[in-house]
Amino acid sequence: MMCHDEPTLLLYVDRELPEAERQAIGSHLGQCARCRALVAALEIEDRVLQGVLNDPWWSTTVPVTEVGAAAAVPLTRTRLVGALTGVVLSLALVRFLVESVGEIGMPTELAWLSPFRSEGLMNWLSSVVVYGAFQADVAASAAASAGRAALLVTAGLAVVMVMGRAAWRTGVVALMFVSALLAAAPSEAIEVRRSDASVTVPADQTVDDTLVAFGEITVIEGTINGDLIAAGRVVRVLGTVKGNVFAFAQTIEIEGAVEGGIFGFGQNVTTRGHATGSLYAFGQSVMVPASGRIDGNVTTFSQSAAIDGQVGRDVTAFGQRLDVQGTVERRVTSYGERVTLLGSARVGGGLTAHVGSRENVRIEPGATLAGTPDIHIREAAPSPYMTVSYYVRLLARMAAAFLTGWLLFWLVPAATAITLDTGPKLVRVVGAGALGAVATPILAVAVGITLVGLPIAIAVFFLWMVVLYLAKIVLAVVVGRALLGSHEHRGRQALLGLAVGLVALLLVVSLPYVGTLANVLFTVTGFGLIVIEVWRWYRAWPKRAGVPA
Amino acid sequence: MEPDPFPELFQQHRAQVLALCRRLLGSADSAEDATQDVFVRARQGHSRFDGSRPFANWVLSIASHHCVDLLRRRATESRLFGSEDVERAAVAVDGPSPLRALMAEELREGLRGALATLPARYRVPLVLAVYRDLSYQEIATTLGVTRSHVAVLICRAKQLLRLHLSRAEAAGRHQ
Repeated sequence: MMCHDEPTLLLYVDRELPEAERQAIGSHLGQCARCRALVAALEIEDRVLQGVLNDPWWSTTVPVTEVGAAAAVPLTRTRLVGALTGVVLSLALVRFLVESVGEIGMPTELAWLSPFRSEGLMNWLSSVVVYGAFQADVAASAAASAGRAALLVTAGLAVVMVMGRAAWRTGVVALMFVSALLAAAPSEAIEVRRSDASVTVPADQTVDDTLVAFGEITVIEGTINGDLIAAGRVVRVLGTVKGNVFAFAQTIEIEGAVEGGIFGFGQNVTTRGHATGSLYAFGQSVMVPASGRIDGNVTTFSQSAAIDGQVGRDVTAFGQRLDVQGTVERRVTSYGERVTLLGSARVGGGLTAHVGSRENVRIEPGATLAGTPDIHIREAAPSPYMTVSYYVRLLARMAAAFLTGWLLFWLVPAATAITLDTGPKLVRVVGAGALGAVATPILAVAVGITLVGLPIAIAVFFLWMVVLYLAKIVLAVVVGRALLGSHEHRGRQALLGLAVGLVALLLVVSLPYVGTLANVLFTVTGFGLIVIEVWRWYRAWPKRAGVPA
Repeated sequence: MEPDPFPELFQQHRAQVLALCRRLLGSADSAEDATQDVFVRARQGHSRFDGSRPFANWVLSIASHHCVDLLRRRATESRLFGSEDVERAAVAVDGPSPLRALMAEELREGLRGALATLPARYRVPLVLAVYRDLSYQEIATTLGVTRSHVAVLICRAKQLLRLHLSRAEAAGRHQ
């Protein structure tokens, strides 16, 4: 008679076989020494396991591992290849979707907000800087109501945390948030006007408080006694704004008088009128035509900046080119490719130019300039791959990422157990990542525009950047584990996996051309992993905290 | 009104339930929470308790169900116990034979660690079979899978433990 395989013998040892089969095996064992030995071994095995499971160790020791880690599925190379293929395909799909949505769904006036476009990205970065650095006074005036809103939300969250019941928790949080915002908004006497077509303040009208306007076209012909905050495709100020102007639009034209500062975020920012404060402009092209007068500083972040009018203090330009034709009372500073002082230019405080070559600084005959121009030539950048500093920076980035990952493991041990699935789960991960990475900053601006939400917006932005940074580290953990073929999630193994994963990802990201795409891809996937993990943690949460003792 | 028997029953069986939860979950922390939850569930469902049978069996079966629910909720894959075919294919690949690895009783310590870190899908049926001494059919009902699936999972669990031990042994020899 033929010998039996191990699973069958295991069933025999565990007394899980029907009587007839049991007897047949019993008689076979009488004749077969090999099977007899195997059965004996399996019986010993059961006894050892019984002994181990009844060991008092189980009641005395601290947890060996997170449950999530134990449930995690190890990732093999085949799965990894499958996963990466999936990521590429899904990303292509996401990209396609985003682009087609950009074509049909996304309002054209908001297209410049898209972080998928370079000027969009530039706008995002500059917004962060401006919000952080220059808007402190506005933030202070909003702090009272925003503080109340934040307090309400926090209190609501605290209540929900204590009560903790999954079904209605989400609803309550959302409700609290909305009601807090609604409750806080009118307390600052802000007037909000919203229209699909245009928002207009006619010449004979005066708005006593801050006006927040959303419209395809916003035209201010009358007077606004507070600030103007406007978003849309076109924002034009023909009348008077006694406070500051914050404009987010494709085209921003200031032709009237602004008694505060101007903060313009848009493709084209043109100031023909008179601003008592300073102008901060972010956009493709920034112009102060001959009729324009800025009493304060002009700071531009733009591809091209043209100053034909008068500037009371300094001009600082970041961007490709700066042309000065008008009058600047103090210093002109440029960080860019090309600076031109045209014939009629008059600069009271000298010129500092950071450019690529001396020929790119042109001072036409007739231009008046105090002192000699201070020209700093940037070293022509050789191929980054040929410089030592590139590799030093690469190493530094590696080390920083590794330390951050270590810290992450220490703070959140479950992070070592994050796994990447193939198939529909992966699509979910990438989808969540793309959504989170793109939607979060848009949400932040949407909240930030309402003024009361400004601190919230800054916090959200900060969190977003943190998650963006962590995204690749988390992905590196997964990749590292797969490359090592390791099933262990803890201790030195996890750190080794992290190191291997980071090296692998950094190598791919550093490749010319493909690297950028890979970078986006990795970031989105890692972002998704974090989002899903946090979501799962949040879902499992009433079981950890909400049960009465 | 007769006194509430629950607090006393709770006291009597707490240690047993906690012990089972620890072994099923592999983590002492969540086992404490799970034990609380088990008694909350037991209290809610006490009308379904058949007084003629031992309370311990009843509450331990609630504990098994509860831990499986808990693991299912935290699982990375939609099916906590995977696919029977996939597991069967894995079993068919030759692993270390039980003859060798288990001779070494001094590897007990390593075995405990290996058990605690074994993926839940293998640990849970093994604990229910060896520690709770349930039949494959009872385990199948608790996990909501077929009896043959349970058999494969248990077989695979043992294979993985052997693999772990033989690796640990090899590593020990290297040092």
